[in-house]
Amino acid sequence: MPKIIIPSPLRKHADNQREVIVDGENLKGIMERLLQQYPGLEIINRDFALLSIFVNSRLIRTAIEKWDTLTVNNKDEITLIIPIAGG
Amino acid sequence: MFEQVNRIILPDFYWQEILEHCKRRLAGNYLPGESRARRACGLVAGVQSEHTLNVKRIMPLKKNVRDQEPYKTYMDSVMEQYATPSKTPLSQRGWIADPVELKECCDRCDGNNLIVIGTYHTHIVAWDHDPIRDTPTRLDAVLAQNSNLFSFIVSMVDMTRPIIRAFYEGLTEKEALIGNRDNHPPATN
Repeated sequence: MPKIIIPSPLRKHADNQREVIVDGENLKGIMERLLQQYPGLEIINRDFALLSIFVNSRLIRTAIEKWDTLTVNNKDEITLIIPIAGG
Repeated sequence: MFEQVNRIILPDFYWQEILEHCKRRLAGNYLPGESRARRACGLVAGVQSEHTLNVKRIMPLKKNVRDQEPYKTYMDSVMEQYATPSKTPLSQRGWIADPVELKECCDRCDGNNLIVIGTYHTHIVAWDHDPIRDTPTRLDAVLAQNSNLFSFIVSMVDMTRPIIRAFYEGLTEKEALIGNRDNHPPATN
């Protein structure tokens, strides 16, 4: 099953784990399941409009509406990166 | 995770590293591949020990993608709502780190058992109501909301007396005191 790497600032919402395993065949399903498993991570939907998602080293630029077309393989590694910004 | 942190150990070496990065960029000396703007930002990484964070690495950021979509639309909107009026045009204010560079930094942290504990950026323009600029602005707080990170504000309004202060999620009421290993404030340079 694909592995999801949680950035350190968000780990408090995922039982302080660096990585979690989530079942699913495409990016949409995997992200939905991740949020079901760790409801605290809902924050990434609510507050991080600019959340970046990498599958292995590839930055996903596909619109969220089309994530169900993005197949993810069992050995893939998904990394979440929160936006870092300042004034 | 960091809500209860009230102290940050920033050894002089790392204090100087932040200041050197800021001074270089403010002097207009840019490295190949760096965004060109008179501001500096970066990540602060380290380890946590109960209510104390120990800084172990400074990671200056090279790229600012503030003018690229989808970031530009988002930043323009946030700036318009929350930025304090200033002589610097809104289009030239604010920064947002490149996600690819951020991932590289996060990978380096994971490889060294470090966690990202905060970000730093410069304030260089004195305001009438805030001449030192050593605290986060409302905009800084909005952009740091729910980040679970400290915002290190590097005041370089007076380049001869730089100041670094750290605020959880950019909130002025949630400052952590910065000291060096001997628990003294690091010396200014």
